[in-house]
Amino acid sequence: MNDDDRRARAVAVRDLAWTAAALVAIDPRGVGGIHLRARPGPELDAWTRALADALGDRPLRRMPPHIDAGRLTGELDLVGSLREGRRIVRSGLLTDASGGMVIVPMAERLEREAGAILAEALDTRRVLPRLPGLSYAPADVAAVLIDESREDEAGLPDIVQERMGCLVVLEPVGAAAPPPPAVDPARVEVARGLIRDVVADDSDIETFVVAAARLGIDSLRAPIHALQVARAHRAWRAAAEAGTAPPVDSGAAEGASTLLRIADDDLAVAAALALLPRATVAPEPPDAQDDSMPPPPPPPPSESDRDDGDDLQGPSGPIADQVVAAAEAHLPEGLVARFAEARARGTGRKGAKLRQLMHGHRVGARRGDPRRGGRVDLPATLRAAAPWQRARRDRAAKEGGASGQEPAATPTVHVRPSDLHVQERVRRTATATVFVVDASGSQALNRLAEVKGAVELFLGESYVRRDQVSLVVFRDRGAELVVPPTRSLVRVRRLLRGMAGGGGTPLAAGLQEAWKVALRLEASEASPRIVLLSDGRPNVGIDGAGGRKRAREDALDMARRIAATGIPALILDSSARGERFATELAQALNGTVAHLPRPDAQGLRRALDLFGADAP
Amino acid sequence: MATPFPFAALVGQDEMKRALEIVAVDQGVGGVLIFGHRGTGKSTAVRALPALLPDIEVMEGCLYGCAPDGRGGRCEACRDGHSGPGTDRAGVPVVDLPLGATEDRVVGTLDLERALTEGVRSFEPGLLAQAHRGFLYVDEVNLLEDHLVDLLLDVAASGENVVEREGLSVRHPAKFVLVGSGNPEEGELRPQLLDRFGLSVEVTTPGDLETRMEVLRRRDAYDRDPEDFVKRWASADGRIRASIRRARERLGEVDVPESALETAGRLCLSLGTDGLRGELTLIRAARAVAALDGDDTVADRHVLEVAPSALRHRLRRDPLDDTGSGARVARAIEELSANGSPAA
Repeated sequence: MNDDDRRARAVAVRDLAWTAAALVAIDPRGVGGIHLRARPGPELDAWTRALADALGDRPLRRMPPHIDAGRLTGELDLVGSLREGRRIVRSGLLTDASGGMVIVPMAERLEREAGAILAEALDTRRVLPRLPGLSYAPADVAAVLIDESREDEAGLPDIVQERMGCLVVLEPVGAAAPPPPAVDPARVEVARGLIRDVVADDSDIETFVVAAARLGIDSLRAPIHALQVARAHRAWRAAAEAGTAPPVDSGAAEGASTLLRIADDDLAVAAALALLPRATVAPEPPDAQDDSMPPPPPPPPSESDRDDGDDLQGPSGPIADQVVAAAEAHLPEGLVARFAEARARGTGRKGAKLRQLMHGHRVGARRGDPRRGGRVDLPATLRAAAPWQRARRDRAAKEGGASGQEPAATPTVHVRPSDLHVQERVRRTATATVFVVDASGSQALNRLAEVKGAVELFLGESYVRRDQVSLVVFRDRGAELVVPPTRSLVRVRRLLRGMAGGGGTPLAAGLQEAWKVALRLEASEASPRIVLLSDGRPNVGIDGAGGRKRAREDALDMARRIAATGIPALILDSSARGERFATELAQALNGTVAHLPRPDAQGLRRALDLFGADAP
Repeated sequence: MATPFPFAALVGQDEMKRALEIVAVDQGVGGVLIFGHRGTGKSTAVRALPALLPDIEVMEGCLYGCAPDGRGGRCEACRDGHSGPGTDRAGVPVVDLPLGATEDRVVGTLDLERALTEGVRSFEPGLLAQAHRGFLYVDEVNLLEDHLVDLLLDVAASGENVVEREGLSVRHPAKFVLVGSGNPEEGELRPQLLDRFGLSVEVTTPGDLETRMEVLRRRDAYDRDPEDFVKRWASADGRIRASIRRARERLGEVDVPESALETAGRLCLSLGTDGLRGELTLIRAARAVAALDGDDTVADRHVLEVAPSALRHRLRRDPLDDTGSGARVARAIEELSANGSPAA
């Protein structure tokens, strides 16, 4: 691919983002919203303006990611009510935006409660304001979630991400690029009128179902969204043909609304927006699709225990492949493969869940002076002051009367410093155990099975305590993170199944990988600890080169580095008679060593209690 | 929400639909846990519930929606005659509990406005009050803080919310069915909480092309014209509504013979479920199934039909056994029939 091609591709990608803005404006309910991966900058500003244009008179509201639930759904306006002396209700942002859209910057930081409320609104088109009784308020919105996270960071909360019909990447195209396509509000209006005439036939439906299955997408929301995106795109194209002026006498003049059929172009755009970015299996590169090639592999059985492959070929398999290939041309090079890999490995997105959980979370309020740290908690402060109002008012009136003060100077609410409350946020630090398991040849294969069982059993217990577990395996030339930090037994079981053994003993590499995981965990506010299961006979250095001496030195060196960061460590020596090097290594790690010739679950549990003893 | 997707139009997912029907007939069966991947119709099913259930009568002006006949308890205002005597008709509430909601919001708190303007200590009801006589839905229940799940299950079981905070001392009726959904890949519920749910179902994306296409066809028809789609499914939804109504009326008269008790007991024994809770729930759910089927007596087939939902979350977990808990229940049922249990 030369530079011209690359530039043309970048422009096509950019134009797709603009098209998505038009499509969501045409059918906000069907499309649901846009998950936009973008960084702040002129492109994003221009895109936002295009969206506002497309919406015409309909509202477009900014929704800060830390918005609180009351502001989102509507609540009693406390200050206003006190001032006016009557109950004043302030409508929520979602109700204000009803009939239009909300745009959420830094959506990866969206509060859990706000995310759940937005998801409910997307499903039901209404919200339950924070008021007594069961009176819902309208919230007929679609959303744009601007995801500014890096690819290895926590992304959007699944609960909202899943409900966005389009996933778009906005990248700078350079100053020399042609301007983005115009999103004419009049054309959007015409398209809105035409969309009900667009028909999807069975072959369109089949194409999306088959394409989704081939891309390893399990959720049926994806093909459902794709279908709606395709319909909006068909209406968008028809609106251009119909001219921008809406027909004066629709129906009669047009010969009673001619039906519009979805075409290949609509399918490809819809697949590019709704399906490919959710792939967990990368599609075959187009040039590999030769007649002599076997059919593309069915989605891996990893997502579930069924085999989709056979049932989901369908007669439109080849069409689905063509649509996928055509759709890829709209996307940044390698994007699908990148996303698919990240999803399949379960890093990023899934690990993200945990980080949200561990995030500082408001749990209540305590008496305290905000000037000494903390955010003032207004409701709690007023609540503390409330019971005393009558007494304080009476007293103030008496004192005011005595000093001849104007009544207007007496405040509506009497708050004393002792009433002040500050918000209490909890940053829960869950324990996260990183197992580093020796899967080398010296560690016999049957022992590996025991270790697997022990790790599973341990995890079974640890989720009772809501701990996280992670597993690093080293063998042959290097180390691999087999189980990224998780609390899910289901995932561990799946990942452990694929674990192989044999080869050399690159202990240093294993420790290094575990250390990296531990540091990441620490950054996400968990307290990591490392548990090494090995027979303590390293013979591969950090660089993958053989040699017992170097291997030992590298391992000790890595151990000292880990010790320097203060991460607690435990060595479980699985050699038959106890290895002296294990003790040496434990000293370097500033940790403990336990001799565990048969790493069964009970032994492992007892050994891990060594940690428990000095745990805070 | 003018027109939610009709319950009857959901393709497949029979076990989930059945579980929701069962608790709609008999709240006492307990909460429902729906585990499965995303995009399998979990929230769609829950949101379709209000249209499926007959409207309820509520005391006029009552913030808790107390029943005129006092069934399910009365709030203070109704006891003291501050609400009513007239009645209103209302839809069955299905209230979402958003993940991350504060405890204040869930249980209720001091009514600040009245406290400040009138100096009156009064109670502002929370989500538990709003869900009274209906359903409380928690998506991603597996990610909810444990203490909140605990609290929800406690209130759901006792039917009453007791608030002792901020100088308030309030108790009000809060009888609801807790429906929790989640994806086990994103974290699991603590085992101690699991078995406090009455029923638990597992949903998966349908595996075959035709079923998946049917899901898309119906969804597309609904998206194009929700009102028309709902109208076309009105009679199917109406049949389910009628069967729930009849089952509720019949429930008290459904007989539970010795044979059904024995089948339930043997099943629980062979599965090694802990405690009596499983057995009691199984019987109770089987009775609702019989009522839904229009039968006067609980037969073995009613017990066996609901056994997977009633028991799969009560099995002791063996991490080394990959067999799903649903499959283990199925195996136990097979063994039971093979060993010559009373004919169904």
